[in-house]
Amino acid sequence: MFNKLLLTMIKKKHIFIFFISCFFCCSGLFAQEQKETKKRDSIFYKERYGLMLGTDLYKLSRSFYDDEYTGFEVNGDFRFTQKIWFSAELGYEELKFDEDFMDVNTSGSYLKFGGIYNFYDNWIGMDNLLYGGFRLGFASFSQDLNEYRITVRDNYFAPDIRQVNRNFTGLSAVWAEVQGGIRVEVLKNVFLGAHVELKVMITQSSLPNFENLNIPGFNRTYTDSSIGAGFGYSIRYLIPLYSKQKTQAVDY
Amino acid sequence: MGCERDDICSSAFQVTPRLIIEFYDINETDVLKNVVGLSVFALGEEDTIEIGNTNRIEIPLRTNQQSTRYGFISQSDNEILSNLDEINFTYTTQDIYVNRACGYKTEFVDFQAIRIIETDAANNWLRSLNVQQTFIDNDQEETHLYIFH
Repeated sequence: MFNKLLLTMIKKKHIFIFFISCFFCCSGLFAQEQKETKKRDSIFYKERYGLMLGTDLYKLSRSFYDDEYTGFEVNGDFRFTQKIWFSAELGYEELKFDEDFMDVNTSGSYLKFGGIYNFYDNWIGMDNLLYGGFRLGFASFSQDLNEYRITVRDNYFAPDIRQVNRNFTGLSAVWAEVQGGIRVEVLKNVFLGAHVELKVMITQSSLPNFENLNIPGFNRTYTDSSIGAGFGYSIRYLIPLYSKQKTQAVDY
Repeated sequence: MGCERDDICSSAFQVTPRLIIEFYDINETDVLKNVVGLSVFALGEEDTIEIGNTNRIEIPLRTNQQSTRYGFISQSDNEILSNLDEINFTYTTQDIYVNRACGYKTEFVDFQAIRIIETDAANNWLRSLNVQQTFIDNDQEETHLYIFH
């Protein structure tokens, strides 16, 4: 009874501490303060294994406030070992490149799969994550070049705008991605997360007299570079499927 | 180019080239010769480009047509001596994608220059033309057209 109460207290307190420790990136540095050891006992706790399902909140919210974007992602992680989860994301995105000199729409879906490794040493009974991850990303998309304006260095003649409505369909891209992020259990089985992504393009469809300006799941491309970047906020629900009982000695 | 910011179309990127003309002496055809008080304008445009004394100019070509006709006025600041001659430039265009910062440029293929000759020969101050490049894709290297006067 006492142990259970103690655990609950520790849990609440340390959700807060987890946040702080993430800020200082020194999860290993703070040690549990120990009072004078009087008795020794063992406590048992269950490590939850299961499937974490969620969605990306950034893509969802951006769809509402950004006229040039529509997107949605569902993601899932399956806990394989104490530290390792298998992960996948499936999403759909519409990205607009809307400048005076070029008007382009990109739309399509993407699939990413890989895994994450939790670097964080949790306190008993907690399953927060401070992780690094790897993904392989695949996108299938199309790109519509609606119009462009011929770029000149003077404005002697009136702007020459071409309505071309050229459609590039059946495009694809493959990239590798590393991630770093955190996930914190804010309610029982409910996790809030934030992460960053760094991508390297492996291959992509080449277009005649044009290029892929945006790629679903990869985000914008860069001239003469295969690097990409991204980030996300997520909410996830852990569906516990089974648990492993762990034992740990405690002093009190 | 690797160090250029890729969302600004900086001068490091080649966009639609301008026509580069050099003026040579009709009597000594390998010697550059200044035009005095040069002004140019494209027919159909209201603005005249006042250039002054020079032997080299860069002028834009129409990208939405297969020709641009230019008027060349020498001694344009002198009402009595000013003299207007015209040249018609013809070509075909092709739009070439540059990058995400610059979008598309136009290149000019099969470039030709034809003098509009006035019946009174004394009124022609432009005496001869020599096209150096029939493919105009770059305005940072070679001269495209020699004009002898």
